[in-house]
Amino acid sequence: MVASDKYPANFLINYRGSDLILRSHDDKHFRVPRIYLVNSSRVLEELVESALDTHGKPHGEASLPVVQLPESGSILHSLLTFILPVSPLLPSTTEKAMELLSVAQKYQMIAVLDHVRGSIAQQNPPSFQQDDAFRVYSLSQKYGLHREALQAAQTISKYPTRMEIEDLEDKLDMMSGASLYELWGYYESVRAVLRSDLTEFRTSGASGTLVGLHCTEFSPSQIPRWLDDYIASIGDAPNLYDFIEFNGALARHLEIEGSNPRCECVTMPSQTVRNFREALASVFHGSFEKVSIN
Amino acid sequence: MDELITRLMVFQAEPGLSLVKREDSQTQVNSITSLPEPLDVIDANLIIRSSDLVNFRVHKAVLAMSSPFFKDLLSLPQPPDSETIDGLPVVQLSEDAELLGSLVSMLYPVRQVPPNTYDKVLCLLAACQKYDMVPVKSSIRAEVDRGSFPGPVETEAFGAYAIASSKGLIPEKRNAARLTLDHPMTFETIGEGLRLFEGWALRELARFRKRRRDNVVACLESFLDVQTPGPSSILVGCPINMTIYPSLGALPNWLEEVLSRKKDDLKLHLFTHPLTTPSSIREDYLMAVQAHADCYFCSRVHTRKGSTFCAELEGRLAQARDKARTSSL
Repeated sequence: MVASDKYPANFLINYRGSDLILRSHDDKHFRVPRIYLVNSSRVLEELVESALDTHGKPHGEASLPVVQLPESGSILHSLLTFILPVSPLLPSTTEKAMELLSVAQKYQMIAVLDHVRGSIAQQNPPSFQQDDAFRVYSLSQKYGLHREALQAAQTISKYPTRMEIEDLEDKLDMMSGASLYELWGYYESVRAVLRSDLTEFRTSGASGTLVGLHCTEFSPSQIPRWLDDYIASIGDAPNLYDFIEFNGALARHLEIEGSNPRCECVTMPSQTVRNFREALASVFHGSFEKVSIN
Repeated sequence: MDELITRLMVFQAEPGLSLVKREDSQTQVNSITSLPEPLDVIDANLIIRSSDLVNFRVHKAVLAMSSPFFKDLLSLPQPPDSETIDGLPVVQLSEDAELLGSLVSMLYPVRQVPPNTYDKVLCLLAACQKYDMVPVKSSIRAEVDRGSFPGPVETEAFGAYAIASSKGLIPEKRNAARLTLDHPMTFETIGEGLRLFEGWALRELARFRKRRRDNVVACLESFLDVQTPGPSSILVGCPINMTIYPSLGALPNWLEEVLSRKKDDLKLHLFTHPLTTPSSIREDYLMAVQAHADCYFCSRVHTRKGSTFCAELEGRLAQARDKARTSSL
């Protein structure tokens, strides 16, 4: 797809059957078939038509019409790999990937947006570190990428660190105060919803998934006390929603009560554990889905 | 016309400022506003129009005298296609009518129209800065100092800091930063005011507070140190301490507790905790020494030198809070 040697160095794509040249703001040229562009974006279609109408048939290299775009050559190059039937090429940095998404969003390329998001998800699973999440959140707000902003905010809210200005000192200049205020508002809301939903889950006897379990001490809603405490702790620290944390809580309980014949937690049926975890997962993820971000 | 446009492009701080062309005048203009009574001028020779389309009749000479910016602007020939009202040329400004009303009232010997909030005072100062109105800016600052114009109240200091930072109002920024020291720097305290901050300004404020906290901690440590001769040496010798640590010269427990508690509170937080105020530490000192009134030694030292000691403690704390070790603020 890269321009062959016979073309100028600023020719980044030379697709067979091209009938249009796109030119970036840094003067990189892309020979592409118009049909791919107009099918991927109504906005681009209008731009192409408008350029042709305004200037008659402007001609560049190889006598093809030229459409000037405000994006950089590297972003356009990457964007076109998601439009043309070639191997997609994601930018190498988070900043550039976010910029690519914002350009796809600007041109209202719904399918391309999904394609780019899929590629990003493959390369960068959502388990990115908190620092990355802040950077992604900040960039998403800057570029108006609502979905990415929400995902990043969810990641940040699940992280053990408190959302206090003091704990964010090294991140304060990553984003505007307005974005930070939105993030704090989201964090507070999602924590409140999570606490409320988990309280309801506890009072419902963990949605009835723990019926018949024998233990030494139960909560008022007939959940073993240690499990009730574990569920409640997730409301204050969502990072405790984790299989390892669950096993840790069980291990601590068994260390104290394991030899007590009234406690049968050590032989808790695997199906009971599975049912409980699924019910908890539904509550946990449902709480995050209930809150949106501006 | 070209020359005027070029000058405007050089001078204008915001795109809203321009001489109004005739074709622009189709826009609905709210009203023609004159200066406040009794100076309703009949010999005005210029109209300045606010962003919300309110016209103010003024004198070119008055504007030119207060502002080199307007002096230059008005010295240019009037473009032939510019709008006039009653034969007066119209200059479009980017400030709203409320702000322009205050600004114009400060140019004439009439009753001033003070802004009703400190945020608006800052916007007025920013406009003066933009139009290079140095004397007017000084007058506004004097009015704030006198209390005729509103100043920042309590936690409004955070928002004031954000606005002053973004508008490059250095004295207001310094003052607001100092005022924030009395309040916790948290999401809850700053609230909606956080929206006014650029990220860099928030971080700069955090660094400022951290430096001041370090100053205050160092000050408290100097009062806790009795190994080297210092202000607290006069209180070494409390017999209650001597029974516990007979070989060591140490501060009386009651004073050490007062100072250590303050210091430890501050050390617990990097920059979000409010800084100890000089007056609060005097109160704590007096309460502690009264609770220790049974000790003849401490009571005697307090009676003779307590007032001087407190004054020195307050003075040094105030100095530590205000000590500027950076050029950034």
